[in-house]
Amino acid sequence: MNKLLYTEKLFQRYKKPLFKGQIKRNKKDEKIKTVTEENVICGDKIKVYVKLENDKIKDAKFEGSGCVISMGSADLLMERIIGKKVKEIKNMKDEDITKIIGFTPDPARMHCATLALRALRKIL
Amino acid sequence: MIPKRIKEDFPILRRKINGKRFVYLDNAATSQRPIQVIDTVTKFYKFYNANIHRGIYKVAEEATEMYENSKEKVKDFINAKEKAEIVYVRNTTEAINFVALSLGEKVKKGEKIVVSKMEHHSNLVPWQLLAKRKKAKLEFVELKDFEIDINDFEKKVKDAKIVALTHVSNVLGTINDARTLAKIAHENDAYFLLDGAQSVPHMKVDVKKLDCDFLAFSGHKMLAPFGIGVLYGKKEILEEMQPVFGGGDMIKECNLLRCSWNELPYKFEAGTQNIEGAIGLSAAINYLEKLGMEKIQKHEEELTKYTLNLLEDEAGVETYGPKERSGIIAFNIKGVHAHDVASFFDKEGVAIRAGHHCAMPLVRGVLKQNAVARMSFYFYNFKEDIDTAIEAIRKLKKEFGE
Repeated sequence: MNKLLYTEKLFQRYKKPLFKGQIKRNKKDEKIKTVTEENVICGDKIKVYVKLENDKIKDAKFEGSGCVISMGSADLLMERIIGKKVKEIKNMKDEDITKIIGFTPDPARMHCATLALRALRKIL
Repeated sequence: MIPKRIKEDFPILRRKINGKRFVYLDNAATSQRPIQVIDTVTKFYKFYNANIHRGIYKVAEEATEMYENSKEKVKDFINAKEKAEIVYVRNTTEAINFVALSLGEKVKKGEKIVVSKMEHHSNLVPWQLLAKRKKAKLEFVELKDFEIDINDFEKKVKDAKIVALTHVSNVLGTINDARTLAKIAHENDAYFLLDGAQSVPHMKVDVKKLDCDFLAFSGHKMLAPFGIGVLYGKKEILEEMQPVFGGGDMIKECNLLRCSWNELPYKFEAGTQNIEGAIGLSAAINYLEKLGMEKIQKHEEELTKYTLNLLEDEAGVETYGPKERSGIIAFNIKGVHAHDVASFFDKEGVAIRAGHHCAMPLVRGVLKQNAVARMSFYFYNFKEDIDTAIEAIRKLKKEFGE
């Protein structure tokens, strides 16, 4: 059996991310939060931006560098959380990431998949 | 020439990984074990299992003899003067920690300990701890073209109490001129410890020739079981040092208030030892000596040259290390994280390592990389293994669109 390194959608998002970038404040009263998170072991770094409105995620973006799994899953996660309630995000578990990216990475690579989620938990 | 048939001695190399031939290129982390070592350990448990040094019965005497013969073997292997200079420990890390704890007692406030910027954490953290404990200074020799900058070393070694350097870098593959470094350290009245984790398994290391005061190495990187390692120390220095662990077998006489220590090396071996490990190590040395350390070194040199030549022609591949080096090649592929490289290799059946390789000051500080991938060889690797690895790099570049 051939081992799955990553799903096609994860790889595509790694190569061509849709949610990479910054969120700039346009109006004074806009609620934008940022946080950085890193995997010390592999040196992956991420900065996550979320725009909040009435306890909902209005927009989400990320900047960073890292492997296919950490960057691809960050992009897919940003897409998934936009429009969701903060409470829903807080309840997200590590396993939810494997559903979003479509496969379960090797145990040694799980921390890559959860990098962006850990950043989100720190913000919210 | 090392004959290809020796691969058959390593049962694990017959495995298939993801339907592909298993190519093991992570030898700097641990070696594989030949059937000769595995059988020796099994045979010990089947027929000779007993605790050593105390039993007044046949089997215990045999076990003791096997353990003692193992020390004799190690002594000859590194050309130590006597068996008393060979202390068994768990691994290189424990050997270095032991020296930092015991010899470290001689270090006074403000005195200097010198290491280099290419050390594995195992030859860095014990000295950080010692420096903190004794309020001593820790200084770092700079690197120049992936080698120890000898001018900087000569400056920093002045007034040093202890110098601890690696023989072969586990990332760069740099082979340090241990003999010269030891000589300079001694001219400055410093103790000289050599981290032999990456050298002893791959080349003839002669402690008399190198004139190091201590040599630390691990059995598991040279075909022996996990959990057996060696600390060599010059007898006259070991004599002056105090035990770190107290317990059974390390004392001569004991009353409720104090003890007198057993003779060397037993005063440093408290409690029941890793007897199977020691016996396995002896079988491992037998295996290595039968092949010949010179042959092993030559074989790995050729393999390393072959690999470096191929990598040089691969666009987008960057390697880190000097031209002349041991069988360790750290590399990165442009635009691809080292962990993705390792995962891709694994899919192709090739085991390599990626990360900071327990040498963060080197990888992050000197090489300025978050992570590097690393191939490392042993004598059971042949050109066909390298060809598989190069093929994996080509496939990866295609997939990542480089």
